[in-house]
Amino acid sequence: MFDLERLFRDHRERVYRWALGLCGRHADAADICQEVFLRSLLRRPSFENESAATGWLRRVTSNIAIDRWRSRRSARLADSRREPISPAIAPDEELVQNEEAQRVRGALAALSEQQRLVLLAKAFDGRTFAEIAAEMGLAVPTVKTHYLRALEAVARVLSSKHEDAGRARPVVR
Amino acid sequence: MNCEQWRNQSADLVGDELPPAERGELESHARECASCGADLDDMRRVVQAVQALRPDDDSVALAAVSVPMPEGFPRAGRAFVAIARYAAVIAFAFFAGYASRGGSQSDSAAQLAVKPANVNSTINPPIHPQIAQNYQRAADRHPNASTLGLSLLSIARR
Repeated sequence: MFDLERLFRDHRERVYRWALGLCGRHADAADICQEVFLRSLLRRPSFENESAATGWLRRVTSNIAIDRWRSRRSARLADSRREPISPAIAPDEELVQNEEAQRVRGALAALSEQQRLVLLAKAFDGRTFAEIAAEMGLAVPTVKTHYLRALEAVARVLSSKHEDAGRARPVVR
Repeated sequence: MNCEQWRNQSADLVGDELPPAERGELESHARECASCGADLDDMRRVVQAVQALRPDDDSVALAAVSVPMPEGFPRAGRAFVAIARYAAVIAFAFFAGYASRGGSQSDSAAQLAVKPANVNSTINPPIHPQIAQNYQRAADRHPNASTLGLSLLSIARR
């Protein structure tokens, strides 16, 4: 039987940690956390075991966080096209965040859902490949393949940053 | 060990799922082979970068407490919406019935069976045209019905 209170009590911290890692801001993480449990309340999924619940919640959290990240990025891009950034405007909290963290979030958003989930399960939660395979209903070699593809894709994004940094930048007067 | 064997086990190496002996063998190959060594550095850098996104446990434990549990509003919400809908229909029926009677209790339903245009012109806010039309029909068919009854019939048939 579906028990929201128990699900919330057992997984709130975990869901919040995933959300905060993916979006980087407490207010957003709290919103995402609420939305995740709201969805579970509306859908009332039944889980065979604890790891199935964790896998489902990780997937929902990741999808909501990435959707938010994308829509926020689109809005930012649209804003920057409309009007030039004025130095008089106080920098947004997100703008002053670590540039590499933003790049990593962008690279995670560009991964396939399965690649992203495997990478998060491994790097955020320290799950073994066998545990991830059980959570996601995949074979262990498939999980390892997703893991390597995800690492390669994110590595390409990070190394492109270093190549960009090595190039001469135009002087802005 | 050759590069292909190394690649086949690289996920286990980066994912830290190898026993020490095998791990040592793979790391030894990565030190000798520039290509595999560069791949290993890249992959480890990614793992570190992703792990750096993860907030520490203390801050999570404190902050997560401030996230309220969603209330079970869908169930309660549905019941509330249904009750509110019925209440609105009854209130509207009373209003429509009272307004179309003009406040008089002695008029017969046949006398109240005015044309839709007239109904709307005398009632503020105006009744939905279809309800007014239904009222007219109901009044024709049931000349002895009460105003409230006719109002409910006309709303129910909408």
